[in-house]
Amino acid sequence: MVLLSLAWKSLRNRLLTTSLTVLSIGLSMALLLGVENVRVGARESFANTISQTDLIVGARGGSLQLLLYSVFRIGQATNNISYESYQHWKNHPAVAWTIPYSLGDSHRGFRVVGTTEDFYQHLRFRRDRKLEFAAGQSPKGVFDVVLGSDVAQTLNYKLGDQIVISHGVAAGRGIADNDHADKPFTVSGILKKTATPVDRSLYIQLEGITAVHIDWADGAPPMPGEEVPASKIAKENMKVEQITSFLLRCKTRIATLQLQREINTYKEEAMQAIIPGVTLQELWRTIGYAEDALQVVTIFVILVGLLGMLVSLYTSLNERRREMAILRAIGAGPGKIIALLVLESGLLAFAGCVVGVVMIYGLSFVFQPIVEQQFGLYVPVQPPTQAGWIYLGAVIFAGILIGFVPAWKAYRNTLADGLSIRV
Amino acid sequence: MVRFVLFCTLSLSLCAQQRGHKAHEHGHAKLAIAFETTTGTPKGVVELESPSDSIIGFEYAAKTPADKAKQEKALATLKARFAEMVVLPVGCTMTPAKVEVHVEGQHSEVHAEFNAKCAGPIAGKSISFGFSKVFPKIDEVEVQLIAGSQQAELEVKKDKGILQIAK
Repeated sequence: MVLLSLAWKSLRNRLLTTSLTVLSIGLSMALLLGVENVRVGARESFANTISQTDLIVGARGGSLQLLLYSVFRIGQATNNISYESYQHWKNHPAVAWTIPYSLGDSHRGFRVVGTTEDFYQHLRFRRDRKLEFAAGQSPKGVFDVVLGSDVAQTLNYKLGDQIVISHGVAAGRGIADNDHADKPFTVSGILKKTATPVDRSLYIQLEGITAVHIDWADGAPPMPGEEVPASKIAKENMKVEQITSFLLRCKTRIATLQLQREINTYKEEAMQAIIPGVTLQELWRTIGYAEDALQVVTIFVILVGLLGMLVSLYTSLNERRREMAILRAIGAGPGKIIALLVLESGLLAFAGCVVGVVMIYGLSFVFQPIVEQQFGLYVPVQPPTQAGWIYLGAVIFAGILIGFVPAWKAYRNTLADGLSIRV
Repeated sequence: MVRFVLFCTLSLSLCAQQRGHKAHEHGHAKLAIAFETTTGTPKGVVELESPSDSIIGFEYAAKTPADKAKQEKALATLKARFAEMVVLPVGCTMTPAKVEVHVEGQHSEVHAEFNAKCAGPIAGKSISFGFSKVFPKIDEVEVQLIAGSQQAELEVKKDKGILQIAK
């Protein structure tokens, strides 16, 4: 107890150096914990993009590709699947619900997704959050369109605006020749922000996709005079023939495996079903190297912080020769001197960790909404993860260990100083 | 006309029959585990799909009595020692539902399904593996887990790796 009070007083005596050392350890600790939090946040945001979906089904090909175009709207499908096959699986007794997607068109760089009312009813993200409308409602007519919140914000659209979608997914403005300009869509609803790829797409009915291509032949727009005017198109007459992929929820989790196998071996059409969470983890593993690199950098930052502490303790020893000599003179043994310095260094590391934790949670609390809004990254403010606790423990332990270096030096100094007449 | 009908029937039947083949890699097996919930007394299924070579030692259809005996012995070992291969949390038991060999062209696969039942909650617990202890030729296993709302995967190489069930 005496030692602790001595260590505390000695640190307080050198308040500026002590504060700077604590601050430098605190900053590096905050960085390490911050990277850990962002890592967990990124992983969770990634996984929470899609919830309560047991299988994603599309044409046979790469599972990653199917996940990327169905959930993240990245890349294209190599093949579509027939509407007939979709209906077959939709009506399967083990299936609770499905959400079909028809992709391939765009509007000023944003993807246009053909889907049904099921999308608004059943899609879940971040465990159990469902889609909500900031304004308007789901599309009721063939030429109604619902906008993701980023689309509405970026292009400054409001309810009732008319927009033209383009054939293909070329970024930027649609190619004029490929515009479906003769069949404009009316904004019927705008979705609330979800911080998922849902925000960056436009949603129309499956029949809408059929309708804009009704007069196209062999992938080319109609010749002048052969266009079918929008006024002559009724939803009932639109026959959907193909879709790109669909999300599926089974009635039971156990049925998922059985159904996945059935779809993967379906004789009528080459299809594949993937479990989204499983493929997401595969994807994460592929891009996880960047995460490791970041981790290595932060560990070096911690090392630099600890080295700073060592330097500050070591150099302070010169100023403290008299202090040490007096301690020895009044009966403190070498063990006590070593213990005092190790305790000081341990206290510095501990204080640094506390400052780091306070700093990172304070910053997370303040910046969480901004980061979520700007980057769609939800960084949870929660107690340190298991890895976080390990880092904290390791830094305090390293702090104590580092204390032995100046302690050994001090022990040797006091011996020399005690015998020397220079003191 | 008859020729035309014959042609149509033939082409239709050819179209209907897919020429797809499943990927097949010796030493590489697939395991899928599904639990309805992780609380209460969870029930689930565990499915293993492995090249026959890794379990039985050959991939042709067993015809001689010696081959048949070898196959039966291997499948019996699989049934009897499956709990050593897939170590579910304490309190969980597995009973074989289906263990069969599918021969497809030059290759064949063992498909095994087990029903699992646990006496208590499994949330927060873990699943470990011991495939190569029982069948040394199984090198790598791709594991998929569905447990309640959790979906996870793990690549188990030489039995290394633990699958954590979410809390």
